[in-house]
Order: sequence, then structure tokens, then C-alpha cells
Amino acid sequence: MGEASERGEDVEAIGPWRQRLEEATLAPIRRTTVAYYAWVAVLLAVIAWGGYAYYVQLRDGLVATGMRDRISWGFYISNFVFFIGISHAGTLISAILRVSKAGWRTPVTRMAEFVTVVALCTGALFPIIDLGRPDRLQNVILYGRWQSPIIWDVVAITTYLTASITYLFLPMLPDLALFRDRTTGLRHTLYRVLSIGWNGNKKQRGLLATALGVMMILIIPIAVSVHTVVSWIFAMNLRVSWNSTIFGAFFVAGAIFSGVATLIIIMAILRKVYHLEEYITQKHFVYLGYLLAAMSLIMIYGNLSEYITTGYKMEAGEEFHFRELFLGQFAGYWWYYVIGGLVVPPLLILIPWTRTIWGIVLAAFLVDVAMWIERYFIVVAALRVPLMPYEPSNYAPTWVEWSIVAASFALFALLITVFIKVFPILAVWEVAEQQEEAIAAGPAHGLQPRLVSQSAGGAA
Amino acid sequence: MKPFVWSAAGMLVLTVLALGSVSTAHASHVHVEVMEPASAIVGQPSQFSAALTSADTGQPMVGQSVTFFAHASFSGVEGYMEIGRAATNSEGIAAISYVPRERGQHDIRVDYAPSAGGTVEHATAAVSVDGSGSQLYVQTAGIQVPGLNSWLIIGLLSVVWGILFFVAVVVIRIARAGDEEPAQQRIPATAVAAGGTLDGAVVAHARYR
Amino acid sequence: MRPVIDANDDLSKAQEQANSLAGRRVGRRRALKLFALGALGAAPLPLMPNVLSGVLAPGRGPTRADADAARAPSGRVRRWTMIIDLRNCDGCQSVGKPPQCTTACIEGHFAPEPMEWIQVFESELPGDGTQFIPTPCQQCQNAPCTNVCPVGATFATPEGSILIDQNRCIGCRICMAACPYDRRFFNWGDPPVPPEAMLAHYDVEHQTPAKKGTVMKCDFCPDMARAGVLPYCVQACPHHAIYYGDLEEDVGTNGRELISVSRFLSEHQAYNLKEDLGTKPRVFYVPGHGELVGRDSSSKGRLPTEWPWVKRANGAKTWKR
Repeated sequence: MGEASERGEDVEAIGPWRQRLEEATLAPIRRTTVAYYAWVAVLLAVIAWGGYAYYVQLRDGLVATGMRDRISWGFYISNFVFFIGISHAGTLISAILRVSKAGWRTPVTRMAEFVTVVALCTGALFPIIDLGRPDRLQNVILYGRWQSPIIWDVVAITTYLTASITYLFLPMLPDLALFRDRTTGLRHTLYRVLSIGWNGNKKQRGLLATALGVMMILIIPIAVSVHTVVSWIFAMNLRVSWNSTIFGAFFVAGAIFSGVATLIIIMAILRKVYHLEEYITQKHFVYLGYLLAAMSLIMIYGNLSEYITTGYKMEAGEEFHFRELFLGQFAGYWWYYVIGGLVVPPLLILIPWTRTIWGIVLAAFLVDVAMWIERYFIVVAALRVPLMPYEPSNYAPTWVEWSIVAASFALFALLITVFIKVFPILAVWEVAEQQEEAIAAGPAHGLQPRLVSQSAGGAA
Repeated sequence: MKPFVWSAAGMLVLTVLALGSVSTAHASHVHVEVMEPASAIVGQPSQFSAALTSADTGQPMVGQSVTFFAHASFSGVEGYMEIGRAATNSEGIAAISYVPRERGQHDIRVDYAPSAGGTVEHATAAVSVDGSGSQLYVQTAGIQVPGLNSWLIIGLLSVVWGILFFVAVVVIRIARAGDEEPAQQRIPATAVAAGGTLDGAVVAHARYR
Repeated sequence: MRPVIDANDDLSKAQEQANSLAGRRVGRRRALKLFALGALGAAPLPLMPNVLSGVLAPGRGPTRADADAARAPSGRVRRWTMIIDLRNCDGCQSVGKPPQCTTACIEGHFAPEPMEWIQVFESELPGDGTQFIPTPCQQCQNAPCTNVCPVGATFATPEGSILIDQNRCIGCRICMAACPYDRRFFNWGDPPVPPEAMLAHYDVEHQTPAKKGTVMKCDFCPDMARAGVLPYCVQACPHHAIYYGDLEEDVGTNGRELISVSRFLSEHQAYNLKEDLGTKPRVFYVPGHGELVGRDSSSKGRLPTEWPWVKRANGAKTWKR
């Protein structure tokens, strides 16, 4: 507070609610606990171990993994699809809800956009990790063929990453300016550079509105195209269970599904750690929970379409695949996915007694695990179907694959952890704007403020 | 033609005499003759025919199966390859349609294998084939629709990246617009109390909107 | 830099100045410039092979230039094909050895263990019998592998064969997911190197030595075929069951006799494997189960494939399929 008055700003004109909001947003960058450093150390250790595993893979070749000629894709590609899938959280919350002017989204948008960028960065590593000759990565640029699904992936993910970073940065400008004005020293310099001279004048606000308006509409088709082309690395191949026309739509639905689930989990964690209960309320969890339930219904419909139509006909190869999935090697994964991922979560959300924050977080966790498992059996169970008369092969991931996948989750967590320390965790200006509009609509609307005597903004 | 026919017949007679003691009712009396097609061009179907006449009666043999071969050489193997089979018609002529694939002189051989068993009768003829140089075997995959090609992807991407560049330009303009003074407006405290309905209401013109 | 407004200045003039800098709408010309910039950004180097073909990598891309193609005496480009007469294939049961086509291919190409570029599968027939199906790369004319390769490392030649450039392959293995016949093999680790290959110059038509992290498969022995020598599998088959031919000149041979390819295919009701997938293979099969060489369809099993040359590559590591 003292710093602010030193800068001679209109502190008196900013109400206590707004002050608390700003303090809550600034708190993470002001104080860092030992627990934080310990957490970062653990994550770095996991990533370092993953780095060693990758070194072993580079040294020995992909023989260090469990993949072989018959099951030639495994953990890496399923992990890739999973992370690209979660990246759709940001687009849904930030863009679609912004377009539809759903005001409740405002405290959540920043986290959603974080998760998107971080998930994309993590996911995009995996096709490279999976390559047999990563030293020839430049061939993708030099000799790339537009006709290849892999090139569509490269192009779509690059475009989406660029658009997401833009879409994270733009609404963050006013908050970066806030940070600039409330910090000193090196941090001040950083935020001054990042906030590119934002001072809230009318012209800037107008330009920002223009840019946001364009981005929020542009990013939706980009996001849809990304997971569609990711699904097409499977659907463009003549394999049992991949040779399906609905893969694009199915994967996009699955992406939004897993993205919302991940967002709920991240939101619950950050809310707890940084004491954001005033801004991220039960209502937010409930609304996101309803979204999750709605997406689960779409997923159920997609799965029914896929499996009833193929199972009814039982073409050659399908019978083997179904037996493996429903009764055989993959039965545990499949039935967990159906029951734990598609049936139980919407029940948890729709039944009033379990519709608590922790009930919804549990549902989200079940969904995320189920979606990772689904990506796994989509890849491996399909490749297991024999193409010619030979005994089906088995796939067992090795320590190298486990380590690298674990490191990817650690990287995801680490990037979010670091983001929290650097960037504003809440979209202050949007939340404030929304609160104003809500108050104007009547006293029952908007985020209910705490008693003035309580101080906001914990330390972490 | 005539000396050829006589020498062929002579050969047949000699063969027949040599085997006469062994075989019984067979084609010792069959006369096979290969007829050259009128014209033969590489890639065009041509009529290759053979005439079967009985050496005994001089009558054409009807309904007998005759096999045609062409001489070829490929990957170090030389010999005759079967190119067709036909039955003789009422005039004793069997004809096949064959598409020659190579220019130059070809040896065409005709075999007649009597149904009752016995020796196979042959006759050969050299056929001259003229040729064109263009590829005959063309196999395509897929269909060509004008306009449905990778330029569509490039076009779509150009539009998307163009819009992203536009947004980048707007960001630069935001940065430049930072040179202007912000809109500074002070609201007296009484207005806050009057305008706000809740304790802690946000003031309308705070600086960081 | 904030514009310094002197006390003497006219405020309205400054206002005017400020207004002229800002708030101009993006005009049509500017929009076009931006789209052009977008096109530049969006059409990166992957376009370059199309534009600069022949400069970056001569004869590269999904099809190779006609210049190097194998030609018939008439000068026309060969269109290689293979016909496998299953009436003569008994999985080398009568020879008492592992399938000789596979063995010859492994020895001739130094195929690393466990690769069987031509693999003899034993397929069940209706009614409890089995048949042997030697399966090389089907050299599809609508090859799924060629369609999906991101860098054009696998490509079709004018002769219709599908080759792999192991110097360009990035090892993404989407081609292996795409192939419906299980005919592509990956060098998961350091493949064993034959002592002879130490001096060999790698060529796309002669995949020796094998390279770690790349894909390999049957290539129809293009260098040998161009020179008029039959592929290893064709030469090695003890029952002469495999025919190698040219669809352009319409002639083929199994090493012993000549056939007119088109006639042979029709007369023996030849078929393709998995024809309904639309891959248009260049490998045809004449139905049978080795009956012409004395095999009864109930006589099952063949000897397992071996890789004798791998033992000569000291300390070689191999892997399972």
C-alpha cells in the first residue's frame, strides 16, 4: 500500500474491494514460501530424471522404449494427444464464454489461458521425443509435405500456440501495468517491458477491445482445427478403430472435456494455495461442473455412435478389437473409462448432495485419468489388431517412457508454478468490470465481498 | 509362303512317320499354319490367327484348340510365353486378339495339342511390329479436382496468419498509444457513498480499467 | 516518449496531432499487405521443394524423376510387378529349410534381425487347411505410407516401386501405422552392420548399411532389376513360385519360364491382398496352397526364419518385432 501512495495514485478513489482484489493478485509475486521452493525442487528433480531417460533414449535409440514394429506408437503419442487435448480449456473458457458474454468466467480466464499455453508447450514436445531421428527435425521444414497429417499437426499447433500466447498476453496487459506500478527494481523493469506502455487511456482501451474481439473469434476455429488434425494422424490410416469418420468431432469433444476437467483441478489447487476463495467461488465450480457434465454427455453420445455402429457389423478385425477392449487385455482400462470417466462424473455433478467443490474436483480428477487412459488405448489397442496372420504383439512401456511422461507432467506443473510467480493470477480488470456490471444489475449479483475488516491476499 | 508351307508339311510328315509305330489315332495328319496380321502396332490390338487343316483330307479342322506363343526375352530368360488360346472356327481358323508391346521382329508360335494325346504340332512365323514410344501402362490413384489441392491449405493459413499479423500491429499501436496521457478523473468521496450500493463498490473510473 | 506540451502551445493543436496518429482504420491496402505478410508467414519452406524442385534435392519428393528410371529395350519406362503363384508355394516344407525367398532377401540385403522384408505368412483356409503367402512390400499405387509421410522420405518411382530415403527419414513412424500389410520395419536401435557394408556407399536403391531410427522395407531390388537381374527372392525360390515382370512390356519370368503378365493374371484369377482397401498393389497372387509341388493343405507349419549374417556382425544387438 505504501508503495502505491508513493507513486501518487488515486488510491482513495479505489474502493476496498478493488484493493483486496489487487492485493490478492499481487500476493503471489510478493512473497515466496519455503514450500514453494521445495515444490519446485521436486518438480525439477523429476524433470532431470526424465532428461536422463531421454539421454538414454538418444544414446540407445528407441529400442530403449517398449515400442516395436507392430505396436509402433505408445506412451509418447498418447501423451501428446492428451496434452494437446487439455489445451482446449483456455479456448472454451476464455473465448467461447467471452463471445457468449458469460460474466462468471472472469476470475477463471487467466488460469485457463495459462493452462492452454503450458499444455501446448508440453504436448508439442512429444512428437519430437517420439522421433527416431530428432537430429533431422529440420527436414520437417525443408521437405515438409502439405499432404501429410503430421505437417497439418505442426502447422495447426504452431498457429494455436501463437494465437494462445497472444490471447494470454492481451487481456493481461492492464494487469501487467498494475504490477508495473506496484513493484520496484528488476520486477518493475520486467513488467514495464511486458506492459508495453499501457496506461489505460481511451485509445489503448479501444485498441485492446478490437484486438480481443478479433482474437476471441479467431481462436475458436483454430482450436477446433488443432484437435481435429491431431485426430487425423489416426483417422487418415487404415486401421481397425482408427478408420472412422467421426474422429475429428469426437476428439474435439474429448479435448474440451479433459480441458475443463484439468482447469477445475488447477483452479481448486490455486484457489486453496493463494486464498482466492472470494473470487473463485462455489458457483464457478458448479458452472464448470455443469460444463463438464454436458461434455460427458456429448462424449457418451460419441462413444455410442462409434461403438454401436462398428460393433453391430463386426467387420474383420473389429471382433478382435472389441474382444480386447471389452473383455480382454484392455478391459480394465475401457471399463474404468466408461464408468469412471463418463458415467460417475456427471452423476457426481448432477446429484445435489455431491455437487460440492470437492465433489466436482473429484469428478474432474476421475475424468482426467479416464481421458489419459482413453488416449492410451486408442493408440495401443488399435495397433495391436493383427494386420496379417500373425500372433498379436504386446506393448509394455519401459522405465524410459514412464520417466519421460512423468517428467512431462512435472514440466506442466512447473511451468504453471513459475507462471504464478511472474504473471497475474487473476484478470483484475475483467473481474472488476464484471463486478461493476453485476452490482449495477442489483445487490444480489456479483461476487459477494468479504467483511471489510478481513484482509485479503495470503502468502505463498 | 508356299515353300514355307511345304517345308512345314514335310517336317510334320517326317515326324509322323517316325512316331507312326507308337501312336494310334492322333494328329499325324494335321497341318498348322500361322497367319500374319495385316498390321501390328505396339499398343494396338492385332489379330493373330492360325489355320488348322487335316493333312489327310485337306479339310479345315473345326473346333480344335490352338495355343499362341510369342518369343520374348526378359531378365536373362529367353523363350516363348503364352499369349492366347482359341478354338478353330468352321473354316479351321483360330484367332486371338493380342496387343504387341515391343517393336521389331517377333516370333509367334502356334501349338496344336490333339485332344486324344500325341505330339504337339508347332508352327512359327515372324511378325513385324511397328511402335510408338509412349507409355502404355498408366495407373493413377485418386481423382484430380481442379482447385482441390494444397493451395487451399496455404490460402487458409495465409488468412489466419494475416489476421494474427493484424493483431500484432494492433499491439504495436497499443504500445505507441502509451505516449498519450491517461484519462485522469477524480471522483469526490461523497459521490462514492452516493453511487455505491455496497460497501466496497468499485469506483467507475479507476485508473486501471 | 511523451510529447512535451509546452505552456505556450495550443492545446487543441496537440489534441489534433494525437488524433491524427491514432484511430486510423486499417485501410484496404493495409489489410492486403497484412494478408501478404500472413501468406509469407504461413507458406514456409515446405513450399520450397515445389518451387525450387531440382535445386534443393534433385529428383526428390513423392515421385522421382524419370531420368533414372529402368527402361525396356523400346525405351519405355518399366512398370515392375510381382506375381506369386501360391500353387507352387509350400513354405519350403519340401526343402526342409526356412523359406528360401526370405533367407535370400535377408542375406542379399543384410536385413537386420528381425526384419523379414518378404515374410511368409501361414493363413488359414476355410475347412482347417492352411496356405503359405509370401508377402513382400505390395508396392501400392495408392500407397498409404507415401500419402502420410511428412517429409517425402518414402516416395514412388516412375517404375511404380515405393522406396525409402533413409537419409531423409525422421523416424516418426506414421508410415508404419499407415501400412495395412505390416511390411515396414523400424531400426529401433543401432542395427547390426555387415562387415561388407563398411565400404558400401548407401544408395536409396540399396539400403545398406541400415541406419538407426529409420524405416526399411522390401524395395523390389530396383538396382538389380534395372540391370536385368531378378530379385533375390525370385531367384531363390526352389519351386519358382515368384514371377517378376514388367507391366509395360507385359512380360515376366520366374527364372525358368516366361509369361505374358496380363494373360497370366487373368487366366489364373489373380488377386491382390486386401483389395477392398483401394491401395492398388503391384503384387498379385494366384490362389493355391502348394498343391503343384505336392503339398497337402493340412500339412501345417514352416521352419522359423534365420538371420545367418547377423552372427558375423560382431556384438550386434537385435530386438523383437
